[in-house]
Amino acid sequence: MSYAYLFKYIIIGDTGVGKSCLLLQFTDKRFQPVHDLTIGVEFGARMITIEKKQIKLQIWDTAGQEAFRSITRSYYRGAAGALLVYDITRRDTFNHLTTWLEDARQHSNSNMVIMLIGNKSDLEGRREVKKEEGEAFAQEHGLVFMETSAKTADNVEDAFINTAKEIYDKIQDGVFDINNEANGIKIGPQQANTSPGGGNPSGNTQSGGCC
Amino acid sequence: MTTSAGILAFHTREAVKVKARVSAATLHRRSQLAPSDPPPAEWRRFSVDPQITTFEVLQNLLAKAFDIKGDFTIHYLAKDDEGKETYLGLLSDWDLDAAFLSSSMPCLNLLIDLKPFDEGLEGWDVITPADLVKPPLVSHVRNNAQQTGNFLMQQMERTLKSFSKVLRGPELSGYLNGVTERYRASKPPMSRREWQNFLDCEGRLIQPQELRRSVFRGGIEPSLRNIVWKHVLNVYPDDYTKDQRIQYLKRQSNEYYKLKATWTDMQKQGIVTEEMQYIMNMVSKDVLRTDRTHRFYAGSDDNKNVAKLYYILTTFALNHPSVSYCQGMSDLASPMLVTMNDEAQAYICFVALMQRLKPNFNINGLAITEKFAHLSLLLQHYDPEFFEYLKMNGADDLLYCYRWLLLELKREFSFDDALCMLEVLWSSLPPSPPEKELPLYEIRFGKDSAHPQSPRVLTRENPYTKVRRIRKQSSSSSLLCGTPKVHNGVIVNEPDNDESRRSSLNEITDDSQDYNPISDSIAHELRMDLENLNKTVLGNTKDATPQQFTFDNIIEEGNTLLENDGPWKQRKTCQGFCGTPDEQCELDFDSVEGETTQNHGSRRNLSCQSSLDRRRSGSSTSASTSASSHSDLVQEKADDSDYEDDHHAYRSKAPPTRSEGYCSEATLSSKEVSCQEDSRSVLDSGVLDFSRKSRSLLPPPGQLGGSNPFMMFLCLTLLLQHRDVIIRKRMDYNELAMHFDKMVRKHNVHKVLHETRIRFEEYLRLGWEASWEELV
Amino acid sequence: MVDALSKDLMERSFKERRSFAQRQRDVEDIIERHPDKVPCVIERYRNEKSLPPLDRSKFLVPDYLTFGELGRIIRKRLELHPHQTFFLLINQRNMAAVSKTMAEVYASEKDEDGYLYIVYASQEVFGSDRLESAEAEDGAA
Repeated sequence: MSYAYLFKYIIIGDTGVGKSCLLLQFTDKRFQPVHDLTIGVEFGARMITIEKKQIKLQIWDTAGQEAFRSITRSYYRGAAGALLVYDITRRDTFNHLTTWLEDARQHSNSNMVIMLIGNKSDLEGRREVKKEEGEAFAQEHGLVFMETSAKTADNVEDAFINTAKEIYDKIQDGVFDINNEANGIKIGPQQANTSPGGGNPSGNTQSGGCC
Repeated sequence: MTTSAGILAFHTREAVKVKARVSAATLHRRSQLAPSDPPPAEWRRFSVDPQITTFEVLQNLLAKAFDIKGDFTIHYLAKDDEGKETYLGLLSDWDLDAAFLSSSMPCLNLLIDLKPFDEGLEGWDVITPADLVKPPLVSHVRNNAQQTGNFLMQQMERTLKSFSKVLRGPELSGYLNGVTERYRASKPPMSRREWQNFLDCEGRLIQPQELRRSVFRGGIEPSLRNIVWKHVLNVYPDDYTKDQRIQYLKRQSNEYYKLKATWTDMQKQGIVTEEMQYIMNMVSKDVLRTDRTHRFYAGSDDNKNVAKLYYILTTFALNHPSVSYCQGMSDLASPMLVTMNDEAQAYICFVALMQRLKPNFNINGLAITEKFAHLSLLLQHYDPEFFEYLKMNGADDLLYCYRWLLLELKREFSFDDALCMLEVLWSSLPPSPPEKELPLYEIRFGKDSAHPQSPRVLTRENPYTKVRRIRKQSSSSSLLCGTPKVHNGVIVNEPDNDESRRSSLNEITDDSQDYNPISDSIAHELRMDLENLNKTVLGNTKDATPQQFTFDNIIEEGNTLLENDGPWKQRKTCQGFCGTPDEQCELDFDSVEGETTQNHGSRRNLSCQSSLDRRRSGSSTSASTSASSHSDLVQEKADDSDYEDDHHAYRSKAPPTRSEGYCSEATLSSKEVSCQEDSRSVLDSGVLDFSRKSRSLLPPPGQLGGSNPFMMFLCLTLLLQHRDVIIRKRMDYNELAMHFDKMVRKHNVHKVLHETRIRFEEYLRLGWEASWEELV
Repeated sequence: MVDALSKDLMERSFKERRSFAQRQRDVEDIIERHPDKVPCVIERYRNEKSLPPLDRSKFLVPDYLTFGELGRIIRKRLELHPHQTFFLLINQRNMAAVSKTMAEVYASEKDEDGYLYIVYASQEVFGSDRLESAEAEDGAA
């Protein structure tokens, strides 16, 4: 299927916060309680529509234990969007956010859109991190924030799609150099004529600037 | 081998589909006489290569397919001149040929009739066609050695075909389930009886290498696993009698329970250190997500086996601060617990396994990086087109293979299949028993012991490591050099460095001779027949068994990635043959200058010669290997002209007399001469280049994959089995990675093992400097 | 008592266990029903210690099989691995050429009772004098 843009996402956060489950819910619309722990990186994809354009999301679901960071760090640079996930029922996962964020900022391109996700919102009875705390953290670091439940699918779509919208907006505003694939954005086979710098001759994918 | 089928009629088709069933009369008869043992009533379908399938081979196939122990007749469905269908008898190669020609489209339809059961056969062991096993058609395979182009793949395809036509062993009925006839291993899984043949009267394992060969070829019967795995995993010190092993296990088990009690007691007393807390958290999260669909761990979260796994991993982590607990360990420990079904023994086996795998969990990631580099090398080498494709899609970093490398592919197959794969993988490695007793801890954990905490626990923040840098240098020529070099803990790129190439080639002289490679048993059997059971050879082989491998050396150095002391560094001196490293150096230089090897009494020459012998007796790259063993001797000269000179010099000398070498059963001058003549015919082909190129570019067995070359070939096989669909569908990085992710637990273990064995054996036969025996 | 008896039975050779007349009858019987097969008695050589015993001693072997092929089949029955040496001896002294068919071997070597007697051992034994001296050493090593 053709797409106007392809955005590469990564999902990061402590082990066991529900990264793989978020991915599965988003790509497959299902929740699997018995799921292997992630080793290295696992991959998912889905097509969404933003302003009538087809956007393909390529999602890289990373392992949470820091021993793997040395490998997954290599993915930060090529990502346009990141979902930074913590578990609302475990405070330590919230406390580690700073580390994750620093990691992300250090190794990714500075325009990467990061969304903060407080997952497992269905487990209200075991909540350890208040929603306000999440909001505050997000505000402090300039992130969009959402609480989700991979189990009930609550807010999962929005999480991914809103991130994509942010990226799309940035493209419209010319913030992203979309010709540099290292930014995690790829132009699809059919080019939209709303790319910055004016329209391009239809059908051709051109590298480098226009005209 | 020429078959009558081949002489009589030239079959252009490569495969004929066959479907066969047992006649109704036979079914009826059998059900009356042996109601508890009915043969299958349904069709069996398979394919045969008409060029190499004789009547006898077909009989064997059918006997196996229907588990027939007695005599039987075969009829095939044919159309007579009037177009009427009739069954004609199949009694000979002639008949079979006619059947192939006239009645095999769309498939050859066969009817099996068992000869009447004979009650009077009580007490008689009836030997039937089913018992007779023909060796694979190795000469047929050799005839194709001239082909250029994708030589290796073509060889493999031929070998695959010849393997697929021959079945062996009488105990295959259970084996048939789910295993396509093409991919059966070359021997049935090790039975209790066979296992006992490896032990002396006091239960000592007298042939550890033989044991590994057998497991490598066919695996182990599930009921025997808990016993044999402990040997293959190097749990026991060498030479223990059965009683000693029993006592040893008791001692070690007690030790485990003590280690476990240390921290569980602390916990009960409310003393929980930060380290304990961290590890317990990590482990409990992970065991709840490990193999939970397997019946052993299924059900609610308080499954006792899940708990056992938790205890094993936590005890390990606390007592091995150099690695502590790391994600992936639960996948590795899980099969131990399922197989041993005993918490302490599972712990012991896990510790034994981790002796080898610890480097993979090192925070610096160097061991894994090396494996990536080697896999990349293999891929470039065996399938440059696919590698280019990956490169174009930025997928040549192979990071989607990470899980394969870390977990030794355990998750790529269903659990039971993974057990088959793991034991084959483990037995591809040389034995390396502990010197004394297997240490169950690095530093004993306790509330009073003041030992350093695991670095993993202490540091939350890791510096940006070398791994990313190395992996992202995908087109770096450091890959071509093989193993990245480490200086002062920093990996340095040495593009096209002569020195590094020399040193990596030089490893051939020592590492691979430690290596216990494995190849085809059938060649051995054939040789046995031809030589009329030459006692001398066999006797000598026993006596000349090589010394204990010092494999540990290699592992250690694998850890540090070859801190390079210089090109001529010898890690191991030969036993009495090669003398000092300096002497060996001189020998190297001599051969460089074009003298033939015959003047040197070095072990290297013997193995070269014996590798020649082995080639003759029937492996597919025999001729190429003779050339490549020669190239081994001229490793320094990369340019063709010198090579050719040496090559001619080598050719013209008479073969040396063979002295004692522990290589092989093959022997004797007349055969050597014929070998050389054979090799001459192939030397001019592209085969020569391929193998020579292989040897100069690929790391030797002792290095490849951090001394786990078979695993690298497993990974290569997985990649190559999917390369067509990947390219055809023009998958991009994400898509192909997802494709492999979807294959988790779904790969066909027999197909994968089959292809891997073939490639691996081809690789070993490239003539690494080694005095290794072919797997027979 | 029973144990001693069965042990005794086990140690007695085939010929010792059945009378000549019985053996002759057995062979005639089986040959009538299976004329294309050679009736063989295959036993472990008396002093052989390292090779395992066979489950059965009477074998019906297709007459077109070669002697070498029979050897391979017996090896498989015993589940030996390639390094274990194994030799078949006819009438306790001959190693027939591996390429001879069983029919040929039977014709020249069959016993009076009609069986073809074969033993297997892990050491090559040439000639009866060697075998006799091996028997003499019995119990010494």
